[in-house]
Amino acid sequence: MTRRATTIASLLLALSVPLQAIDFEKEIAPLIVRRCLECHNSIDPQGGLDLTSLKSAIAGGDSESSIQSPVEENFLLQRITDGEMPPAIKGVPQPLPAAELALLTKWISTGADWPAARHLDFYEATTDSHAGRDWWSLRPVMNPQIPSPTNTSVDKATPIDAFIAARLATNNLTAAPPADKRTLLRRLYYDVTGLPPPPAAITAFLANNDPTAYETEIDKLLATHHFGQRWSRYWLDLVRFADTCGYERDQLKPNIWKYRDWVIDALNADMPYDRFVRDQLAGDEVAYRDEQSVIATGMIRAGTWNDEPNDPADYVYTRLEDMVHTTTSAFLGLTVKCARCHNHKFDPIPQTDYYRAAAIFWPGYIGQANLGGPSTEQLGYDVFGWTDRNNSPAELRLLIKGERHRPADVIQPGPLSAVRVLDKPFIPSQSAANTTQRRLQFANWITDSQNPLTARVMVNRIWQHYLGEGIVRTPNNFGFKGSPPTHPQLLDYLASELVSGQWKMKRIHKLILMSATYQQASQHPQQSKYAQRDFLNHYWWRANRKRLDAEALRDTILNISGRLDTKLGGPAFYPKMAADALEGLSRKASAWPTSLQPERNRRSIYMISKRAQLLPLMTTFDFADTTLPCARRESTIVATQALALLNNHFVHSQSEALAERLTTEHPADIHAQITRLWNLAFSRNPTKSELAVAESHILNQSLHFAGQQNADKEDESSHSIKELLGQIPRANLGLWLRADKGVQLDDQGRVMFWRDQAPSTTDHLHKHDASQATLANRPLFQSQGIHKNAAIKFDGKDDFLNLAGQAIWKPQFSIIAVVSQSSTGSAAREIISNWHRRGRSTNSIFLGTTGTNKVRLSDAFSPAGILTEPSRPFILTAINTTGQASTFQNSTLLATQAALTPRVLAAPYVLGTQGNYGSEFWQGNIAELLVFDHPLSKEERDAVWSYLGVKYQLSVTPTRKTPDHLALASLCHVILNTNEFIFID
Amino acid sequence: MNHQKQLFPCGQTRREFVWQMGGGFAGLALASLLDSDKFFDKHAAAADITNPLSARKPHLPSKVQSCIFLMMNGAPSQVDTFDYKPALNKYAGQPLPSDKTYINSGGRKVGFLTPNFRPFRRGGESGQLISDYFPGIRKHADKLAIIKSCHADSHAHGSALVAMNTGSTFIGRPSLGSWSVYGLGTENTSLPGYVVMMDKRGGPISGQPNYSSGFMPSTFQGTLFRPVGNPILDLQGPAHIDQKAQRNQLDLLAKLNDKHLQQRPGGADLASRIQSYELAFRMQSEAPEAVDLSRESQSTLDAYGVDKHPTDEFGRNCLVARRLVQRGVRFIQLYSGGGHLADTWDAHVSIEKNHGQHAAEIDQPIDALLTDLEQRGLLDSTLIVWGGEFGRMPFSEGKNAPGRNHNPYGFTMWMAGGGVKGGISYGETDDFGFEAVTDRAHVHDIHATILHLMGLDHERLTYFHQGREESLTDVHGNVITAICP
Repeated sequence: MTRRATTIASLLLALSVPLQAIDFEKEIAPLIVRRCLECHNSIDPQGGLDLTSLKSAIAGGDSESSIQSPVEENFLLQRITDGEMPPAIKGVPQPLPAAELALLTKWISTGADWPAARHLDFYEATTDSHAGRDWWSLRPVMNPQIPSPTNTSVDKATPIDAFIAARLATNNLTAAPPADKRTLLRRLYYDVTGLPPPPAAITAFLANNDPTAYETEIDKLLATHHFGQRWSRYWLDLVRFADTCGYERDQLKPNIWKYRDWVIDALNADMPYDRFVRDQLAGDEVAYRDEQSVIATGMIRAGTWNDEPNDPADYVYTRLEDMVHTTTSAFLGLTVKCARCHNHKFDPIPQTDYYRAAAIFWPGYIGQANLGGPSTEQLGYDVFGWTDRNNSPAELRLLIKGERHRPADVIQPGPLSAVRVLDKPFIPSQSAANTTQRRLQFANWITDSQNPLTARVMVNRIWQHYLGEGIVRTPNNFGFKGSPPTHPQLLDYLASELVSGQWKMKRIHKLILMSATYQQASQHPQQSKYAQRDFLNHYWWRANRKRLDAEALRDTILNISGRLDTKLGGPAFYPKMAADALEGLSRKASAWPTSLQPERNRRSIYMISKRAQLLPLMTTFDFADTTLPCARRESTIVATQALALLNNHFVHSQSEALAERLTTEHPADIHAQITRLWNLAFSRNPTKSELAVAESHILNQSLHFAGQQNADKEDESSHSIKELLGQIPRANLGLWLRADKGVQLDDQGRVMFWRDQAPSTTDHLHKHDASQATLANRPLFQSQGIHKNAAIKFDGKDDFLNLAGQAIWKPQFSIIAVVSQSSTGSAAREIISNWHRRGRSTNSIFLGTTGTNKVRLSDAFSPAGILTEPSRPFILTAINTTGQASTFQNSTLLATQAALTPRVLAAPYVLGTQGNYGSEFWQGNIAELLVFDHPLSKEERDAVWSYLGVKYQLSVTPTRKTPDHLALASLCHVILNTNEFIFID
Repeated sequence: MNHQKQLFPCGQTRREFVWQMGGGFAGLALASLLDSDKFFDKHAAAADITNPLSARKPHLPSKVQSCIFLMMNGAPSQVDTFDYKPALNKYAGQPLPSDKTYINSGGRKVGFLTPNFRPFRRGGESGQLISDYFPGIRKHADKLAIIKSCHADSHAHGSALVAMNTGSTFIGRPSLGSWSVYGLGTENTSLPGYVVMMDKRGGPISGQPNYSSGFMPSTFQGTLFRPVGNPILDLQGPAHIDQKAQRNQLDLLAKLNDKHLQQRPGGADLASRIQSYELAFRMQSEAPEAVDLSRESQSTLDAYGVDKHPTDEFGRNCLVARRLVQRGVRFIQLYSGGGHLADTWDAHVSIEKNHGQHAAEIDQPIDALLTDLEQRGLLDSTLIVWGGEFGRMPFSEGKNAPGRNHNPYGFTMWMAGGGVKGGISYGETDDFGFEAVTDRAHVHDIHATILHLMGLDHERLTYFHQGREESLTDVHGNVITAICP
């Protein structure tokens, strides 16, 4: 003791601190706040020592040593001089700087004067190690003075540009020149809609010299529904949206798609941001509560949910954290969740604040029923939303270190305390109310115009998506560990505009889009010089070049191939997933019900996000992780992206579709095709040399592919048959009769039984074997019925087969038959039919021919085209979609009309005659018959036709597979791989 | 050429730089992978490119280059494999003492204490006891550090698998392999740094989150690898795009991209994407080569049990794993068991039937792998980890029933190679093999140890995300130094 006292005394002397009175407020209070209060606070004081007030500091904690003890015996001071306090961090000592130690020593030696009313608070002021309540983002938003323009060369300067120019000037930088009109329009289209400009829009824009042309484009694009389809994705990332729950069962969240559609619609309708926030947090509590506002609360339960948590009692707290974290990061840009176990180390968020926020969600259905939320009955609508159990929930207690078994004080729901002016307790809800109104009060606090965070956080997000980076570059962290704003005044200007403009967001979009800063070029004349000084473009001396994100990339490919299905809203679709990619699922193919065409070609916003299995094409291009809020996706460049664009089936099939579009639009004109391709992909014409290299590529590839095809022909065809056979779509193939398989003959060589070869993979399908019990009605088997292939010969008098079960079971279907006719007379004759005299003489379903080579697809589609060369074998295809019915002979379209009027699809079905009529017998061969329960896409049709064509030596060369076509597709494919395609200047 | 000076502009530290890029390597023309052939010496304007996959120095001295994690999906029973409990004979037919509390996973039937289904025998000079399910592995008893005191946080497969892979029972965090590659990079950029080979019967419960990179860039996520043909997705286009056709495409692509770059000097992002195509081109040939077993001798194939029932699949996977180790892949995870219940080690119905089947599939291949690595001098630089997501109960699932329910309170894992001290056991369960009691090893401790052996300090290996330094072990984890060199 004496030795230590001597040390301290000598220290005092050595430092010769002037022996004047010490100012507690100025000198001591900041020191204690900064060095001691993180641990020695009143919530969970370490060693029982609470240094927030004189009274508790005198009490001295567990050691009962008063702060006011004389220096020589002051235990607290000794702990510091011993080097024990402040404690070491990961083994590294954190000694108090000598000057501070001297100051403290002197203060104690002079009696440790501390005004009794002065209560210290860890968060009262910002220090060099943590933020206080005076942190920049917590100060009121000031509508700043707009700097007077310093650079008059920018003739269309907006207030935004004035703020930007001021900082450029102080850093001796100048803005880049404006982007050329073409580049600008392409950028604008992508940024607002996520799709490229149609070539005609570029042409019109270039020709339009009206000074308001650009503004007109902005207004037009912000008014399209594509705007919401694009921008909703950013919001869905923020609220960790996915369509399923995750974990073992990864259940589909029923109706969660309605929330996705709500976000799209809200953005398109320019819903004010305050209402946007309120509906999502409390759409079940608002006065105008309706189905839409309840749908909006789906945000609260869009996260992961585990139906088998290790400890359900603990899991409740995990879910609370998910809700607190999602809402406070999305709406406030703060990391409140860090305060679940202890006071926030860096931001003025005490642990009690975390529990205030948790208490807001506590009254909800956080149990294990109904996928962890209220039922549709409890909500009153068939939606996936949120609500409270009642208006008098159990109390929520603060948990020491976040541990459930260490409950402390009851915490009342309330706002974050850091916003002092708004720190008022919530009002208990009226006894008549069904809910606690806590979420509604929370929403009202968030959207109070005095809340300094809400508007700043939101305008920063909008800025970020247009400019590539935020003004605050850590968009979900406006706290101490986040980046400070590069342009604080600009941020406040935009935030003020948002609030004063009734929280309308499209106005902010337009403000930004109209700025010269947004419109500048992505290359600067001083690029390399400036890059040395401001590599990260903090000062916005150029536009940031952006790589297309996963959605924009996929949507663009579909858009320019002409295959994009523009259907709006509704349940999510399942894209085609490579079987190899499904290997990682514990329940493989059964878990992936691939959607049909054209559903699969919808915009990516409508693609299922299944937490256990996301589409590799999307994740390769940095689709957001769906478990945590994501404010800013990575934008990586990796070799697997190159592999995907080089080899992925989707990219190839769309390249072929694009080639088809080009040949359809500009038949037999390679130059026009190439020019069109450049305009679709790059929004510009090709240069002369580009035209030349493109043409030469087509030529080389065409020669090469022709060589391949010749070589293939020389190959034994059985090999390629096998390959083609493998490409037949098996999904929902419900009936597949082939004369070379599964035929049982009687001793006269007549067919008794013909086994259905369709894979019975789905529950609703069952075998549709064909049979004939009556000897006289059995058709004859022909081992070389059609071009050396087996077929069944029907005599046209009384031969037919009965089909088991209901062979056509969905109103949308595809029937494909390989047949030949030995009579082409006027009599009607059927291939497959369920005609029945009783009750369905006019609404049955059948496929056959009649009269002068007419095709009939039931009475509702007759004639359905005229056969050419009717005496040669052919493939007859009939497809009925929801929109239209079509027939094909081989690969040629015969006829098309509106979809069939409703048909009765009930069994029994027969082959080779007209139902129970005992007439209209087929005269000729039937070799193969396939029935699908959906309309085949062009690609799927081609796969079946190619197989049948090769097998039966019928002419089905789909035009798109010629060497020329493949060569053009190859060029399209290269274009989809270019930097110019994937980067937006 | 040394890029170090250029990497971090404005005199920032790497951390500041990376952080300002948005808490990751974002925007950094990630994985530009340009070092190897001095791309930027040829193309001007080498701005700031760093390659997140390039090999990095470990925190600690370590010889380990690769880790092979043999994941026993479904949870093998410890008392029937590596944790011999003779007392179970004595207590057979009695209930587990009532002071031992546990969660009865799935509310299944609770039977009586049941001894091991197959006898234990001593292996090697160390004489470690290993049961007759694993006669092949027993031969390597002197190489194994058997950790008999493992315990986990969840009794449910879905959460426990995710925890064994990511440290948390909740999905959304980077997996062990992601942390390894984040910390160390990889030696061969023509192959993924972190490879996962599933069991053909299916993936793990909870799917992708088991090998995801969570909040890290997807560059660090596990890549599913198939042991035949084209091991990764999108290695091959349609048949007509043969090598020549693709070369024609790449030549045209290069022309168009070069011109585009010329008009945009300083475009590091553009240049790195150009380079990524050359790498992709190499991957197309190198990845299939890595799984092409035709160059392996017949005796090697026989040793691994390739083309033999029931060892073919796991044998191939083990052999491919060795080939990947030789090619510098950092982290390889092989699943034994896939899908659900009987297709995994989840022996609710019958230990003998289930473990009999699964052990027969993997015992010979693992035996061969350990032998092969040793003979090729690769064992010291390859860490092998074996284990499931938890263990099984010492009592039967129902009266006289031959199956056992889930048990996260005590189970066994083992490590070998990578400098691990062989021939030792670490930790103990109680007399029943129910609960870890001595030197308890939590999943976090296992992870800390694996990272440590690979040369990474689990406390220093952090990733800044949303205001917090995240790590695999969070604030937990102690290295099991007793098994470390």
